[in-house]
Amino acid sequence: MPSGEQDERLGEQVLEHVAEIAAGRCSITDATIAAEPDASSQEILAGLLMLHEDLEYGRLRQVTLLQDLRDAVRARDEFLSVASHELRTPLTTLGLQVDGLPRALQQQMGSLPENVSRRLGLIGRQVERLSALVTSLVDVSRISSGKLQLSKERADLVEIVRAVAERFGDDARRSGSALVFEGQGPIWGEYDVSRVDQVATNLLSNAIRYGLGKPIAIGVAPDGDRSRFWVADRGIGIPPEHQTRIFQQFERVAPATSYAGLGLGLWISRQLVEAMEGTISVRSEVNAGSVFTVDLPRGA
Amino acid sequence: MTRNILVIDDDPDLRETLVLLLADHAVTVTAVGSGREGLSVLAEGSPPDLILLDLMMPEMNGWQFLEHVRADAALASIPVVIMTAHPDPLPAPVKETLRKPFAGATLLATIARHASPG
Amino acid sequence: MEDSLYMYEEIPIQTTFSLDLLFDRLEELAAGDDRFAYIVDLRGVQRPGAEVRERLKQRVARLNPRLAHVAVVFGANVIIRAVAKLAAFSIGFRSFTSHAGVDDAVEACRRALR
Repeated sequence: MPSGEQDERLGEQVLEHVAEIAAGRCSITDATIAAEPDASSQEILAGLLMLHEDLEYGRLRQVTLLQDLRDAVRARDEFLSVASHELRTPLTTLGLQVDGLPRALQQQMGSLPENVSRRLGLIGRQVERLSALVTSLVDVSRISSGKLQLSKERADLVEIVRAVAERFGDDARRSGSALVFEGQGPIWGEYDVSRVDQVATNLLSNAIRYGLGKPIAIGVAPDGDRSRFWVADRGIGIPPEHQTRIFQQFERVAPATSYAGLGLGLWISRQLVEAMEGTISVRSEVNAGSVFTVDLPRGA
Repeated sequence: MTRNILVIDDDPDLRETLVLLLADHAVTVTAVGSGREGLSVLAEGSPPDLILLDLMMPEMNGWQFLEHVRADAALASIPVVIMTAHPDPLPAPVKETLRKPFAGATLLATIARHASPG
Repeated sequence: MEDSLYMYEEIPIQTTFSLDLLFDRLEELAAGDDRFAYIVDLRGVQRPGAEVRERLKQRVARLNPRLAHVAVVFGANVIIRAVAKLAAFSIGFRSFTSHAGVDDAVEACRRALR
């Protein structure tokens, strides 16, 4: 065969093989290589064959790695699930005992001394904090493995948020922050009450924690065919470069030595809000404070 | 007239806590540690106003206990509230749950809903 | 073989295990050399698969900084020659030659070591 035609044929062959290899197949065999007329064409085909083998090998390794990762995540989630389940029963007993103690003591002692009452309050709050932490751990594993289930019902958003504000009255007072609820209801819609409560609770507890004892406002308002609630503090604020990071898992901007917490709350809140087809955002200025706003659809 | 409830939970501390707590609120608690004991308590004496049932128990778990109760005409009308740590809504026959950990006030409200005092 | 010159006779069917064994030995022998060269005898070798080729690249890359020259001896198998050249390109040998016989290979190495 004249050399020009040979080159052309080889060229086409190479392109065909390249296309095959890109598709994950290769029809080159030892026999086809041996059938080539000269050493350099043989080398070309041998090289292509090796390329195909290397690509396949790499792909198989990725598949194995991916499987290992999935197994590890599943093991983690199962563990978290079991662990949190185990933690909840002793927390129940503990909480109920604390609830029942004032009454039992009063029956014995007539009236409850102030310092005893305060200590019981302290114990009770620790139980609540533990419960909240356990819930966070469970939520993280369920959200990560896509097992979160929402249960919507007809509810008044104003009442949901007001209940959260009331629950935090004591905490806010204790930290020196005046807590103001702004909202005129009702705002009826289809909401997952406990999840909305969870998000509002997270935002309000952050506001109290980072609020430096300054006034805090929590409010609800309709927004066209949607609804909105917000928590505003005048505390330490968040630098602009951190404002997206805070919603990530395990991210904490405040120094861990000064402020406690797992760094999960805002991540969970964002996952919950997005699962409810809403948005969560923050406006903040260092040393001036932050406003976290959650926007939610009002439901079908 | 005091209210009467049956508690079935394999955790002895929780059983004792419920007995003590509810005694202060004029509720008599019969607490047993297994589904089997629960069934035998139900077999004798008058039916309780409410059954508080744990799900995770060895031998006979809460689901199996529920099946037995549903199958018996005399028992099927007794309200049953499930106590569980499980975070998600539970499937069909379960109508009401008390999610652990629950507060004393929540517990009392649940009991009041099914068994009004005196 | 001589000072700073080593002969690596590859076995017909290589595994990552055999590669590690032989390269460990080569590293041991060349431990005291600032520069060294080796001859790879690939006559009688069967085509290695992707995993072996990857290990080969890793082991040779470790030697490469001190490697003055690699001389490969082939038989008739074109595919093996292609494998060796491919390996040489991926690793970036500074100095690489291929030969039909061992004597030429030795000469090439000696020249490079001077």
